[in-house]
Amino acid sequence: MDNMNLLGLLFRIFIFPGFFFLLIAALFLHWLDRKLIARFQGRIGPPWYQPLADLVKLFAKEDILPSGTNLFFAALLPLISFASVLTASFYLPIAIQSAPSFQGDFIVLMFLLSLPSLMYFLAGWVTQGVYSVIGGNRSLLQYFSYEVLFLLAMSGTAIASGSWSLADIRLAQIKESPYIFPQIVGFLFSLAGLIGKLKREPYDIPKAKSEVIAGALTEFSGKKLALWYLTIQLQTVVGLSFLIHCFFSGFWQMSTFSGFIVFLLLLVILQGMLSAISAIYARLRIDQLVYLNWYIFIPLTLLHNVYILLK
Amino acid sequence: MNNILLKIRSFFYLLPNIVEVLFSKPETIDYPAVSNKLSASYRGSIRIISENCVGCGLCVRDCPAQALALEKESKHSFRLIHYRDHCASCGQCEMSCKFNSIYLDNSYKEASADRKDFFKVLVDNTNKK
Amino acid sequence: MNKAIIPKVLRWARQKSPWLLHFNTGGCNGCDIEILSLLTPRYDVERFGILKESSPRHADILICTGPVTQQVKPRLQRIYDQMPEPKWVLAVGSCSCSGGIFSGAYNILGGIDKVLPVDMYIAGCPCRPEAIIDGIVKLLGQVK
Ligand code: SF4
Ligand code: SF4
Repeated sequence: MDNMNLLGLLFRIFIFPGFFFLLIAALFLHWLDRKLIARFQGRIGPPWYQPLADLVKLFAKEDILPSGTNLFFAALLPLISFASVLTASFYLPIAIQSAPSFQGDFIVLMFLLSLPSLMYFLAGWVTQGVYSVIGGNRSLLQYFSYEVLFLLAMSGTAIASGSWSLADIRLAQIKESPYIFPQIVGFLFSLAGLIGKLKREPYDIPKAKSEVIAGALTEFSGKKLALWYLTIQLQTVVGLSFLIHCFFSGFWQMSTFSGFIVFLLLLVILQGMLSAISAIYARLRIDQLVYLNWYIFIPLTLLHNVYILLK
Repeated sequence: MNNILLKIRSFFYLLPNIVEVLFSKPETIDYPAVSNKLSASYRGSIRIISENCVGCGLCVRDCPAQALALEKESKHSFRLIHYRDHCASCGQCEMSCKFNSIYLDNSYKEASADRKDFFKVLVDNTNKK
Repeated sequence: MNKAIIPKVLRWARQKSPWLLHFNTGGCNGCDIEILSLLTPRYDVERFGILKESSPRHADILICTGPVTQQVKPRLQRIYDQMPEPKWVLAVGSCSCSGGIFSGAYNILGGIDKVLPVDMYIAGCPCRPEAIIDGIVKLLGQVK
């Protein structure tokens, strides 16, 4: 590998669309989320630097864990989930940058995005608090309903393009039309799956404040808590970019400035949709959630996929 | 069929509401910058008209929280002391006072890092005479 | 240069994102309702970055309401120990300042400062939300 290539790779990993860009986007989207929810409720909401101040403060706080915790795993779990989200961002063509694409990277991305939920469950077990264990169990219960929904709804795009590769999905969209128009149902259901992944309302059963304090993160403090929060914020960006790539990427050409603007606009609009959903709906009960997902959403998605296959 | 339609409608029931709130002015008062007007009947801090006070000690006797103290030297030389951190703003002293001397106004009590700030001498007649 | 900038940044971050933990140490529930009214659209303390956390491990400021009863004293101490440094204690209401109307009762210690070091006292029975905001702003002014 010559020098230029290495520099380009480093730029790709650390600046754009790597860590730096993702960090800025994640902090901005988090602020937008809190601000929008505040405005939906008739409040003013936090100032723009709020997520940054929260992160800096958390990183500078004392880090204590209850005695009896396996310190190695307590430190490892947030790192693994953080790393898996960053790796996912490397395979995903965020904005206009192309990514190394191969047959099946769709599935790899799915796996990498679902790792943090698993780590979340394990974090509940490792810290041994009563609320943490309940929160972890609840996240696992929820896991089996939204993950299936997310995979089925997203795979509609793969079926339509006839390939499990993200680059092919994009090419097929440029050739025909963006998949958002023929597959609006699939898009809405994958948004529901993403909400479950991010543990937002109305799928926030694992971290319900009034029931289980803060779920599996109850006993975490300081740096580890900051890393967990950062992971969830990055997961929002990566998950939304994944959705945008699979449903909207026919709207712009590769490597153009206007494409970048369209991407950012879509990111903000989708985040606005997530915030509105959080503001409108109350938390579901676990039985309601399982009923909704397995009896209504998943059969509808399956029907939708069959319709795409036959078309 | 009607039932299902109603259920689907309930999914979007609050949507017009939040959009309306989003584009209207926020309810928040910008408190530390803009002061908030309290209602006139709110009982907050103790005030005194010291000329009226004769040092009878009725308010001290009736205060349920021992927030008032009277240090009496002679008939016309006394100190009336109020401990703000004990006071329950109940208004009993205002009702007990027969000379319209002590009353509560609608300003709230301020925060302090030291409890000594809450100690206040309401009437001091000791060095007159 | 590093020595000058890093404490400044930390001070800024701590001032801009105080997270509260609310604990009732045996009060009558009046001050608790006033604290909750801070979160309503009218006062909206999220303007200052204040969030109400439910786990002591996430919080920076412990807000206590009520004269400390004998029974709640060990719990109060334990919650305080569970909070990571740097942490502050806010005594809200007359009874958490001094025992207030309950002082002298056989089951009451009388004031948070009998158990924990208190950084800011807010008197009032119940105290106004404005007074609580004033107290928090004053407290954040002292943050190093
Ligand atoms: S308002 Fe009530 S508690 Fe306060 S000084 Fe008067 S009588 Fe005592
Ligand atoms: S304030 Fe009124 S009741 Fe109290 S000592 Fe003075 S005159 Fe008597």
